[in-house]
Amino acid sequence: MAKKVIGQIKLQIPAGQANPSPPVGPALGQQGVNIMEFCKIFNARTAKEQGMIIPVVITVFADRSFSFITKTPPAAILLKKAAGIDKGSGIPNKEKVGMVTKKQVEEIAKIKMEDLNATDLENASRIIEGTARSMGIEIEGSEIIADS
Amino acid sequence: MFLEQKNAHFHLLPFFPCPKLKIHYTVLMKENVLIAVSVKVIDGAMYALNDFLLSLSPEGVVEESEGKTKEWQGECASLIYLEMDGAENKLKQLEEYLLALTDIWGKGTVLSYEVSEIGDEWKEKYQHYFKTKKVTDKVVVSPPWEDYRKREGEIVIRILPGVAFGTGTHETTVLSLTAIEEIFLTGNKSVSSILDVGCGSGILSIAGALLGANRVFGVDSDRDAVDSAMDNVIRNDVQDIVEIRHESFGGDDGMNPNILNERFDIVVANLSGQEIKRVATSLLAFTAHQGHLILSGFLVGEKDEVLSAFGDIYRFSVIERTLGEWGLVNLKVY
Repeated sequence: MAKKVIGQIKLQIPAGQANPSPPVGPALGQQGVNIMEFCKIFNARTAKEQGMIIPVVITVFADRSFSFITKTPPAAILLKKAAGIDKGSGIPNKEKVGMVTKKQVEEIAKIKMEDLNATDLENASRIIEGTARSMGIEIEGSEIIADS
Repeated sequence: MFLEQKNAHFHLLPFFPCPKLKIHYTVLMKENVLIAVSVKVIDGAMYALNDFLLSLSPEGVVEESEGKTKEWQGECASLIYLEMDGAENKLKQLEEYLLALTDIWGKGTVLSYEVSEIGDEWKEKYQHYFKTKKVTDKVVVSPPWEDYRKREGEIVIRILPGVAFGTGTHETTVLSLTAIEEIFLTGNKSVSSILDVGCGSGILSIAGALLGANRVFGVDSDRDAVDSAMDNVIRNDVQDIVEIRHESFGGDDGMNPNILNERFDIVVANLSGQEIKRVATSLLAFTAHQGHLILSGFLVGEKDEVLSAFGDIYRFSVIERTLGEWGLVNLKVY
């Protein structure tokens, strides 16, 4: 019989480095999940991806047991990689820090398609473009949005 | 709407309140507290916001679902935890960023923004779900609040793990307990000392003492684990046998001068595949001639990689065990 699900927790955390301090401890502890068990298995499964940020979705059952799945790297990280930058802009309306091509946006949209709230590739690409704008990354060939 | 100033030591942040954002603060101004910063923005800006939050809190971001039980898309608040010390500057950067997002996406981009203090309740809460469990043929692990009556032949370990590894429920703990138990149950009288590397809650050290070891050292590099292990040692009345030390095991030279200059009949390391590889030389150095080196905490698929760190494997007799996706090896060192 399927176990009753009581909640889900989404995290973006560094691969192989989960530990009981925040954010993992409070996020899981408040749901009654055994924090250390999660850390142990997450770290073992992601040990080879050290240095990456891993999105993870944890499903919590009524008996406080849990399962989790890891997802592809966040769209923002793929955008930074495509633009060749380490960090997005802190004031993306004024300070532009990089540029990506339409093709790169579409490639990222394809990778992230299943994780995005998107109905089709065009819609997914728009979400990626919006993410890029919100990070100070310009899209090559797009109309430049003038600062008001 | 304003920061509640309870402690004159902390000053009001000059950029509050931000007129363009809906901000709710419940933080009492104290040092050494943890604050939770929760921000909800419209879907289009969420992925970029999470990335920005990761720059403020490299330890990670939580996406809160507000009680939804199905996997949700969008409509999430993103949450980070910050130490109060240094939070002022980070909040200022965050507010500048939220204003920039509002400039790009228009009014109503930021749906909510809350800063609150969090207590230590989470450290306790998850423990309430522990139950007494018979882990091996002999060993029963029980939380202190359950009145478990010991049956003949059983060893009952009372564990309050706190924020430390070793609750007795994890496969690698079960594998390690079983391996230690097997060594004692085979009636090997020469086994008297144990070194427990990465002792966590102290569960393996305590089990070793209750199974018959005369002398047990538990070491852990994590202060919370050491505190938890010390409490559990006293809880099980084995303080005459078990000594817990706060040690970072396996320095650059592969040894650790702070651990007594002796070799142990059993060295147990329930760590992770990567950690075992890192401290392999030290683990071997502390294992007595004819002693057992018990390794666990690695995934079955990592076994060969872990063993390769110990050099020529034909020097050992190797017993392998698996439980679920986890592995254990017991190396008898000749």
